[in-house]
Amino acid sequence: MTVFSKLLAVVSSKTPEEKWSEAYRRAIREEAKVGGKVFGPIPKGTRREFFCLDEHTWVWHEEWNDESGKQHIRTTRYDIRPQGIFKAQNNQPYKPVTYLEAVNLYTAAKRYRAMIKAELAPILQNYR
Amino acid sequence: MQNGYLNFHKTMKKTVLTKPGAGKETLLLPKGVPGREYFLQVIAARDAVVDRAIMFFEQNPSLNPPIVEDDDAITKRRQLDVAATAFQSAVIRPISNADSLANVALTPTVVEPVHSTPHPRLITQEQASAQPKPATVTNRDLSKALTADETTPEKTVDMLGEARSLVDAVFSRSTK
Repeated sequence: MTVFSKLLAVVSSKTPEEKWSEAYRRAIREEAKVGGKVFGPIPKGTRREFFCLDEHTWVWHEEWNDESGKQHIRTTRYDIRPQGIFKAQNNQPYKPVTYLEAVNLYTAAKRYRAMIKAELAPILQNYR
Repeated sequence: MQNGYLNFHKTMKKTVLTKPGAGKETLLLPKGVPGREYFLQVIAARDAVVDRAIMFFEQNPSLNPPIVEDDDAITKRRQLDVAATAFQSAVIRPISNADSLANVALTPTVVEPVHSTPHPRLITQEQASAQPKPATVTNRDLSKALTADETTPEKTVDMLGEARSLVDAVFSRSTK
């Protein structure tokens, strides 16, 4: 059974709201894989995801192993607030980002959008 | 190319192509299959969310920080502010308070020292009476001034006398 057929099975057995939420989460997971490539080649043994959670939130998740084989997980959450851009890593308190980091994040977000649209275009073309 | 949405897309194809000879419309996912419409709606919704997220980004002050002035720039700006204030109090206010264009012409447009003579409109009645009054000039004086020449009164009398003598001589000669 494929991943999507599993999703269809899940979707068909729930209420419309639950179906929508499930499909939405599935779409974000797929976007996160594409977004992980925004920053260039992913090192071997590293899992990298980057995605837009909602209009004001961007998430960068990374998992890797060090020389001793110990696994590290770091999740950085960026909040776009009216007074500035703030980030929190591994559930630590939020702190404002530097101007350079804000520009880098904005550049990554624009690349993310371009890559997502490039992937969606052929799919939507087939559906229309 | 193995990436997220394409994998998703291929997965859908694999799932759906169970009906041989299906048309193009049913190649990916036939109508009525649960999930197809959700997939389309979700893709459209996500597209809109990412577009709005980029828009919020571009409006954020972290990407558009205010220009930071150095000390020289701040000093120069303050000097300009002081000059602008002095100009406003010295020129703009007197003109704006004036009743007419004639008054504007009479109103001093520079800040005078404290010990200088006050403006005529600001002195008291006593001060006004104590000041020397200018000489009154009549129309007669004006016409006199306009017709005056360098001839003295005595010289004028002599010239008239000579003229009369000359006339008398001519008449006496003609009547003879």
